[in-house]
Amino acid sequence: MVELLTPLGAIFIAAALFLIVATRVGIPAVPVYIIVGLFLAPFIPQGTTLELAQWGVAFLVFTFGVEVEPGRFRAVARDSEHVAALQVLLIGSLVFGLGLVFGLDTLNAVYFASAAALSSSLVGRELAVHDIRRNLIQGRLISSIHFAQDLFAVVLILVLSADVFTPDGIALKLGYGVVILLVAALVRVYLFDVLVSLSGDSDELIILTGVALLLGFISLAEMTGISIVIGAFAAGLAITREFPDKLALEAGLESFDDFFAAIFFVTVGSLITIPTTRALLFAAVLFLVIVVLKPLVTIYALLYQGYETRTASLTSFGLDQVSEFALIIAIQALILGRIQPDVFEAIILVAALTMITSTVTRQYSEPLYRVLSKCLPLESTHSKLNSRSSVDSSLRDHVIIVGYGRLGTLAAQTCEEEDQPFVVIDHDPDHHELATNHENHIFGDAVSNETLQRANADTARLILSTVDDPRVSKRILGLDTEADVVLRSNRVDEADRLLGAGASYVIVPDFLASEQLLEKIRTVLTDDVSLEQWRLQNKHRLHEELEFR
Amino acid sequence: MIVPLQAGSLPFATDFAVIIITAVLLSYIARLTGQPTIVAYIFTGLVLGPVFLDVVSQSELVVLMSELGLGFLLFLIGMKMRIDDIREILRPIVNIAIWQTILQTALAFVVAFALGFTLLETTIIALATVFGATPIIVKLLSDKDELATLPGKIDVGVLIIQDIYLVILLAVLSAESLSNPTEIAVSVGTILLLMSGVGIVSYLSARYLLPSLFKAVADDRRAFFIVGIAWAFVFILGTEQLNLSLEVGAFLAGLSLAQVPYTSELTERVRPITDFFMVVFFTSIGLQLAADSLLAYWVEALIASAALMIGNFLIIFYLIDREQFTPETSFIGSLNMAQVSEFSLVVGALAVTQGFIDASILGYLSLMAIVTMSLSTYLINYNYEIYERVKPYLARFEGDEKRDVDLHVYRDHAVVVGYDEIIRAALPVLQEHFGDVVVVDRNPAHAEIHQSADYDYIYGDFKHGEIRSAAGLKRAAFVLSSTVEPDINRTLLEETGEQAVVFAEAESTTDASNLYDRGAHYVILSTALSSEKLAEHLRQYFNEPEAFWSVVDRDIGHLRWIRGEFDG
Repeated sequence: MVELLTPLGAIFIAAALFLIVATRVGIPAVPVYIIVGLFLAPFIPQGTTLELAQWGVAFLVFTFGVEVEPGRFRAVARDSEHVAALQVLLIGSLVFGLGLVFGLDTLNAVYFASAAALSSSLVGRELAVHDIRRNLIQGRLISSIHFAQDLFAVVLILVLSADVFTPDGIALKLGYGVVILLVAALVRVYLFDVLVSLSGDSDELIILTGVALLLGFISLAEMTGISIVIGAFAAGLAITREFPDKLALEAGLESFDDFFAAIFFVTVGSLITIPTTRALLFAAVLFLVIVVLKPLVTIYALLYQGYETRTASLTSFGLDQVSEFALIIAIQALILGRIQPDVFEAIILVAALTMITSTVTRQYSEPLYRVLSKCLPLESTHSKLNSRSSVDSSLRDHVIIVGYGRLGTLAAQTCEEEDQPFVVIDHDPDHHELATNHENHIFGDAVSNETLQRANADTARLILSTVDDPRVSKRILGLDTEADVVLRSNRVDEADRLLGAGASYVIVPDFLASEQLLEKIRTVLTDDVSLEQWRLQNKHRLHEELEFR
Repeated sequence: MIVPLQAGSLPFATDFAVIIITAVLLSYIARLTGQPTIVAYIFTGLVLGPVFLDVVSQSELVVLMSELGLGFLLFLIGMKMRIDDIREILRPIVNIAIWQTILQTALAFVVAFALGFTLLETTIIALATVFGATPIIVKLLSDKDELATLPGKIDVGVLIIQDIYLVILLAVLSAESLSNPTEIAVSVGTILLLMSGVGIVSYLSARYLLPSLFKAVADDRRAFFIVGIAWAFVFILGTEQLNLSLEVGAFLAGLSLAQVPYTSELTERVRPITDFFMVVFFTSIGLQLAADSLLAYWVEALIASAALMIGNFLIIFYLIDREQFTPETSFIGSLNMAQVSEFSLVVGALAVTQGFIDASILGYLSLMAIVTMSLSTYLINYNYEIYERVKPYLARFEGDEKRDVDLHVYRDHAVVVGYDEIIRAALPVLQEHFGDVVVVDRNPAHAEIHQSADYDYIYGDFKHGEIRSAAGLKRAAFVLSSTVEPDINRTLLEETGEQAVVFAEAESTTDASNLYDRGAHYVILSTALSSEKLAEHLRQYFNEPEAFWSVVDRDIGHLRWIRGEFDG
């Protein structure tokens, strides 16, 4: 019997018990793990568990690396939104200064600052998944800020892994880092496809190939004495985006990720003992900065750039927690013996705490935003709204079309054909770009007062929402207007609820589509059609529609 | 305060990197030569261990991971024990399995004893070489799509029964001492008693706890996985407290989950890490072997391999034939089973640890495993071809009273991925036309609707290959996919047969067009379909408001009706 088996079992059993409760209230897994670690601390032997925890780091970074695509760099760089990532530097330098004031040395001040400035993509994205999937502007802001931060964190880790902080020492590490990344690029271009074809259609082999790449790059990093994080990141880059068995690899890595991440975060939590007063002081400062100061700085930075108050507030609630990369930085520093115990404990404690508070701020983001906008002078310049919108202020008896996706586009076209005045509202920059060829269009959030006022909602004839967003639906139903209200929902039960709440009609795409689908199925099953010809017909019809659009 | 750690980073990857990279490279070779990956893994250990390079040593983590590998493997095996799958032929299978165990143990005993091993060694060898190699048989048969055939089902059924025997054997071998018959009897008794205790716990929890437990977390992929792993650990640690082997606990943990509907998904989530740990496990066996112990009995190993392959084949042929199956079934079914299992190494390694045998016997077992596994791969791959050749000689086994059981196999059926209002409307039409409809759905909220419906239902994510093959995707005549994930639809289009009609759903026109290019017959673009309807409605709204409001009333009525149906 291996000694480690019992602590490992304890980790998973305790984590499972806590998770069962946590999923009920929507708390993400990471802080749960850290808290489990706090409880289990006496049962977890430090040396080997820490070794196992490194696997967690490796897989976390690896998965991030797999997601990083050259195309994504370009997309983020093109978005004006990447500017928002600058708030990281602002908070970072502020807390760095604070650290020095508290008597920390430069290095520990950097650790301290990194915990304050970087926010967790793992937690943030899980919480904001709704907005990100809908491509809402705050969702885009949150995920591109996280992306930029994570990249920044990887570079920071590389620099911090230098043995000596002389220009030469750092340059050497950076050099090794660049070489490893180059090797990864070579593998990606020349070798990876070969490995995939060697694996054939064996799921088992493709997953092992992925793990082999990861371990290979990590030992390369170990040999050159740089952080394993860089090795794991490089291994992720070595994996291309499109290949036949990608599904299998992704599914497999998810299991590794979940398994070792649990060990990692629980171990991190277990490293905390009873904190000293000084550690508590650091923790309090860090907590205040992250929960109060960081959202405010984010909000004002975004307002300054011309975003709406609501967008700015909601974005800031996606960023008010400590990053898992800050934990990785801290644990690497601990292994190198460079971080002060008080700073380390403060970082871990505040990480668990802010990840939980972030869940709360996210859940109550709307009321919080209203409170904030009442007690703070939050005045947007509306420059994004103004510069991108064009609307005739004398519109009467018009149609307001919310959302310019497929449904919205066709609705706008129909209005145009029928000579009905209308205005399009959309919040997704890509969609809005397309809507600019109509006379009246607003780039804004249909939930905010400003936007609805501009659209003259009180004198409209019909408000037609084509987005499946309960908040938008609720806002429109709450308007003081005589207009007919047509909403959209993807679920029948919600549609029923909206009808009960006063909607004139609710579009349920699946419901409308199902009749047509049945017809198609009957055609294939009963009619004597040549399958291939029928297929080509359907394909042709799609292409016709595309041109029509 | 924190315990200060030693300065410098903890080197952890190098040993594992060497192991995994070697294993992967050897697996590529194995795949190219048609060999199973297990053979490559065993070779990995031999190559890296003292036999050849001697570059990797058994660190604590290596030992931990190989233990976990074995534990999780038995957890997976336990979860696979769905009695429903073999209910149709349960009785013949139990007969075959019991007699096969007895006769094969006897044969192995005689062979080993004749080769000059001591009594204890002979006993261990005989106990270890009884099993057929599940991963090889299942993998090869599923590649050839023969798992659902009668010989395939018989083989898998026999292997399942063997697993129960294996678990008992492992428990007995890990007992503290086995020096005299009384002690053996006492420890076997205690073990059986304890096992039935654990078994009762596992039965009760399967009955009252697990369904609701897993339902509570099934929405959250991570929590679902962690709870599954934790469940295995509860039993692993529990049996450890009772001084039983951890494999017993893992197996019973899996067994309690076998009848829970979420198991298919959990199996696929646990499998990847198990595969990885198994590589470490097989490697660690190789690491225990020095060159002289590997080759100490190589002549004996070759003789025993030949004797066992032929002997096993004859025994199983006789046993299947005795159950009145046709000669074809008996021949194929027994040809598939002519190898020594990887569990011979598990049992052997355990016996070495317990001091019953020395490493050279483990070497002997390893050689036998490698030889029989590699050869039997070809036998399985060409099983029907070989049968055609020898068919004339099997005529004397023909008989009027012999016939094969008709097994239910999915063929020309409909596979439905996901479940929503659209799908719900289509199901009756599909059922009427195809009879067999399999719904694969990963949404736990629908589980109850599915379980009470009269189509077949698999809980799980369609991105797992095993789940696709459980639904018989390759043999389906009609596939209706309501997932909009392009990756899943692409995989689906690649795997379906030439003749199958595929309906897939897409979110964007780009995806839709891409799916058509890959052979989809119809791509459901629900926004496209509904936007046309919407435009129609709008025109009415502007031009003939009364007609519009009456259509709206009709639609709303219909919607509410559907909602009532869907919920109840």
